[in-house]
Amino acid sequence: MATPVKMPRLGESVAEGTVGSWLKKEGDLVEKDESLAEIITDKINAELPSPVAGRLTKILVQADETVPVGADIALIEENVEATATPTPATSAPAASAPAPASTPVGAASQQSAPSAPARPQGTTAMGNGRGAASSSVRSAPEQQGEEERQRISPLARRLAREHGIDLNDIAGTGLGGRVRRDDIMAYLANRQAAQVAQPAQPVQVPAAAATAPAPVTTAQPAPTATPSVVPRATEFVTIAQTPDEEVVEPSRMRLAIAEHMVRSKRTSPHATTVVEVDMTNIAKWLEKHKQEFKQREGYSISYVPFVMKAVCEGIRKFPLINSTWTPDNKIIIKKRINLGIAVATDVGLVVPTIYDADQYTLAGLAKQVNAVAQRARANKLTVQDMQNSTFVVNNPGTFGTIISVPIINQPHAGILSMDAVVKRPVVIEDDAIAVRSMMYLCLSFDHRILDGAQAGGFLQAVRNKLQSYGREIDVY
Amino acid sequence: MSAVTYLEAISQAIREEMRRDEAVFLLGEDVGTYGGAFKVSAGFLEEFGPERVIDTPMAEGAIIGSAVGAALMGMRPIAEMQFIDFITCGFDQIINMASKMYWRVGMPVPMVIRGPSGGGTKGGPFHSVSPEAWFFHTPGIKVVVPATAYDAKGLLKAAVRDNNPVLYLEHKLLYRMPELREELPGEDYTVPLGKAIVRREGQDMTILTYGAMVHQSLKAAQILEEEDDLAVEVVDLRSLTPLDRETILESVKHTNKVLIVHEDTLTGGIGAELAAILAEDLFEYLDGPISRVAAPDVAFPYAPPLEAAFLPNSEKIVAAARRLAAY
Amino acid sequence: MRLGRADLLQIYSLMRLTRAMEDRTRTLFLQGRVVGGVYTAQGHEATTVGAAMTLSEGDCIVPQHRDLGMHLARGVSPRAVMCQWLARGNSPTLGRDGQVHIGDMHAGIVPMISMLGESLPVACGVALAMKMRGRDGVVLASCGDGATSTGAFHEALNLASVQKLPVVFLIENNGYAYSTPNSKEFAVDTLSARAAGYGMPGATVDGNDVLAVMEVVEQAVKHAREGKGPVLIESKTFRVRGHSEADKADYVPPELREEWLKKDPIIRFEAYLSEQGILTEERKAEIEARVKAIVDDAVRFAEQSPAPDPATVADYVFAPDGPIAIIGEADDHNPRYVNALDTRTGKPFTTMAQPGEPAYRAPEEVAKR
Repeated sequence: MATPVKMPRLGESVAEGTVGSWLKKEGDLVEKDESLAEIITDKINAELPSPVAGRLTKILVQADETVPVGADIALIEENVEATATPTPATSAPAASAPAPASTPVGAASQQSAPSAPARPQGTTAMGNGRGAASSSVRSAPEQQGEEERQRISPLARRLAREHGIDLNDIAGTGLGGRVRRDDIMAYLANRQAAQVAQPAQPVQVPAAAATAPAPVTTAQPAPTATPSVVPRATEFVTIAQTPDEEVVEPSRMRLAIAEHMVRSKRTSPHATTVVEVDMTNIAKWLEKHKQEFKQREGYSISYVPFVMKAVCEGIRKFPLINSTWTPDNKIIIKKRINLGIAVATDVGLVVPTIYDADQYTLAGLAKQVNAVAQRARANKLTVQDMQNSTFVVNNPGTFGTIISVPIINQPHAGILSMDAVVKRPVVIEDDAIAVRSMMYLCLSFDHRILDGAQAGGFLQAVRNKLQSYGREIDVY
Repeated sequence: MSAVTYLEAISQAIREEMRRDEAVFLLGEDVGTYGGAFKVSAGFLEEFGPERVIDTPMAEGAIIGSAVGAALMGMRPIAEMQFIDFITCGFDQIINMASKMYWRVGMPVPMVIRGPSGGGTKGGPFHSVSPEAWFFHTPGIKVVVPATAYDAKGLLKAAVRDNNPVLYLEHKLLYRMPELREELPGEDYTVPLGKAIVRREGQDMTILTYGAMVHQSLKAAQILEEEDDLAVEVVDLRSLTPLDRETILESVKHTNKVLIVHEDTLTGGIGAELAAILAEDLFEYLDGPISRVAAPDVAFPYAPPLEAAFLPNSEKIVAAARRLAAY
Repeated sequence: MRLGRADLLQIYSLMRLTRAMEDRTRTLFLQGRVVGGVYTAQGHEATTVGAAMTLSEGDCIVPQHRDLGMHLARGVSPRAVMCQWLARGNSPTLGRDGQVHIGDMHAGIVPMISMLGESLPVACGVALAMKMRGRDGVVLASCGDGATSTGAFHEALNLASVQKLPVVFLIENNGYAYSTPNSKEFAVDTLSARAAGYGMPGATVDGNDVLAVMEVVEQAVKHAREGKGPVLIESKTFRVRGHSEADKADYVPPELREEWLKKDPIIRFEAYLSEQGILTEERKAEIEARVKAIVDDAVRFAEQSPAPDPATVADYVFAPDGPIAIIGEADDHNPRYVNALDTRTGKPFTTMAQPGEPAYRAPEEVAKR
């Protein structure tokens, strides 16, 4: 067997060598370690000792030729009769050191492809070294998938998977509408509750007690009685049928709202009752003082704080308005009056909470409303903001509507709509006719908890409060 | 036993170990006649003599190098760095001599390097450093950071008895803090290396921290409970190498939100490694991003307003915790 | 030191063995079987073997990369050395480190690192421990002319002198630190002049005259052993080859090299021994054969040893818990001590020559002492 003689690596960074001259010729017998040739590199020159004893049968690289390190330059036939010298393990030059397996210590990422949840809120660095660290939430990312990942914390995603929840069903209460652990847990609690609760029968308001104003039922703007608005991919897929149709993908928020609306109608038997309120004194005050108030305080005042205050008054008189029907058929009356105030943002309707609304003055309520509306529009609502409301005041009047019949925000007992204040001729005392600023207040209520008596009584209290203001109003 | 300060606890630990084992000795600048710059070894020269309490020349390389040599002979030297900042003068001895010795040749180097670290004392850039990251990154060195008097004594004893180079980082601000005075057990005890401790339990968020920041974190946790109704768990790491991964992972698995607090600068601090571990091992348990509160990436400033702006404190921790809670 | 015939032949054999081991290492390197940096010390044999031969059993050497002669004089196994060069899994460093970065505290050998000069403070620590334990051991710490420029050199000499530590600092001044000649390395005429700066005695000696070296080192060792403190010796020799086997060293004027080749320590000692009638041609041939056999055996042993197991790449970072023995005191080989064995393998350290390895000494060299 012929043993190859290889070009050695004479120095760590040397990659090739030149045969200077051969000290032996083909056919010569050579001893182990005897010098065969002179090797020249740019670092050193050296003689090449033979790796084995035997006969130099072939010279493969001639004098003055340059070859890479490790290349065969000659062949030696080991003499069978000579004393057996074990063939040395001709180790390849340095480069062949095995690269250690780069195993990170400890378990690497788990099953699913790690997606980076939106990072920026995390780091808090004081000072210039970390410029970008405290940047706020990323602006609208390109793909739908990216947006999805932003909306769900890794923990929530796992919990959803484990409980077989379709994330499309969940409204997120985290920043920017993110779905978080608490949302999953709330959904699960609710899911349980929905399974226990009675299926709701659509009920018209009964002709109740005489003192109640004439109940008005109007067509609801929301779609009626569909069991579920959420298309399940397995059951139903919408595609455009003709060029006359356009399929729109609802946003996550829209889907969440849709889910809630359907569920609310299914849960609470809605009934509705309306009063009209003479808002003239308030209207006049606002006309006179609104501008200056805004300049002085930096935020505006409107009809909303007045109605909120009156609602608190009403709740104080009729605590049952501020309650919840539980899945095990109990009623929980809430002691704190946390008013939810509906705010339209460009991504949809949100209903943040103003805690202990009854503790504020009119100006205080105006301030709170403004603050919360700003946060909502800037997508900066906190967890606190989104939880714990006990009653909602809705203000569609900004759109000019005069009566609206709202859907209850679960798990409340009722919801109040305040519509546009409109000048109208009305009959006042002594059968005179005057032009007054009038507003309709419409209360939708859960008929399991409330009857027309309490509903009407509540509205009356609200109206009385609103109509109690004189020309001079102290809003502080 | 009466209540002792954090510094007295350290002193007790060294004294008791030197009494217990004649292989233990102390060397460093001004440790003998002067009793140490902070008086940790006051009275030691009188008790143990100049052979075992050695006033060295000003030469950190020689202090650490000779500690390695003595340790190779089977002694258990405690090498003091007068301020831990000066450890950089002996860097080569730690990195290339001490940390690699056992791994290379199988001969243990049972030595302790200790000294006051940390800021808040108007010490400026050369007397306030938190050096742990440099050595946390080096295989072959253990790093411990006690935050209480009890741990200061127990961890130092454990460090002396450990057969590896151990970097024991005292915090100079904690030395004589009256709030940290406590009564210590009369009998011999150690605190094992590699075990963290939960200082305060909670289920809403975990704070991982060590050293002086443990106390700032506890203060913050109290505020968060009172004002935000947020129950924050505070984990005192105590030992950086070896790290108690189990306690850390258990806590964060349970609370799903984690805030890492350290006095060391942000980039490449211990927090970065903890964040990587948490992201790798607990990705699907995280309900919010892993967050850090640390000093800015700049050297430690001298002027009091700059020092205050530089150092993390309970207010900054509270603010960060609130942001994380809202996520 | 009263050196008998056996001693002289022993010294000569060790010098021959040192040279043969390094020549063979060079061959292996040229054949591509040794990888990485290869450092030899042709010309240093008188300094290294001579100095180490003045030591007693409880003493300690703190060698550098050109001190194979010291290792062999203290009984280090040639097989272990070849396993190191061939990066075997059973080398004293388990393949973790290369060259002669080996040691064994039980045999009084401190393993070096590549940062030259840094071993000197460690030498001080060893000496400190000896002094604390009331032993009369001495530490022989060597370094090159380059290392004398480091801060570590200064710190170590200063610490040793102020603490009166039993250290003999041996500078092997071979004229060049890589390509840096003495003229660029320091401004004094002799390095031993620096001793005065530390309040310690200093001496310069002809490093290629083994008997001269032994005489000077012996005195220094005695001085240190008597508790009089450290000594600085400058042994003047020459590095006739490159800094490493990959260095052509054409910055060395050829005449200078030629001049020093004529002063080769082995040739000089041979001449002396022949004159004295101690070294005959047969004796010389016999020693050469024995030395070759030892080297062949060492290489064969190493080649038959396994490569390190890649699965262990992240192991051995920390020593286990347990009691540590003070080296040199009673019972320090008891396996209950963590430093009695190589706890990475659970087996004894492999640095020193084991029973069954070819003996260094011919029978009559051992005989009359």
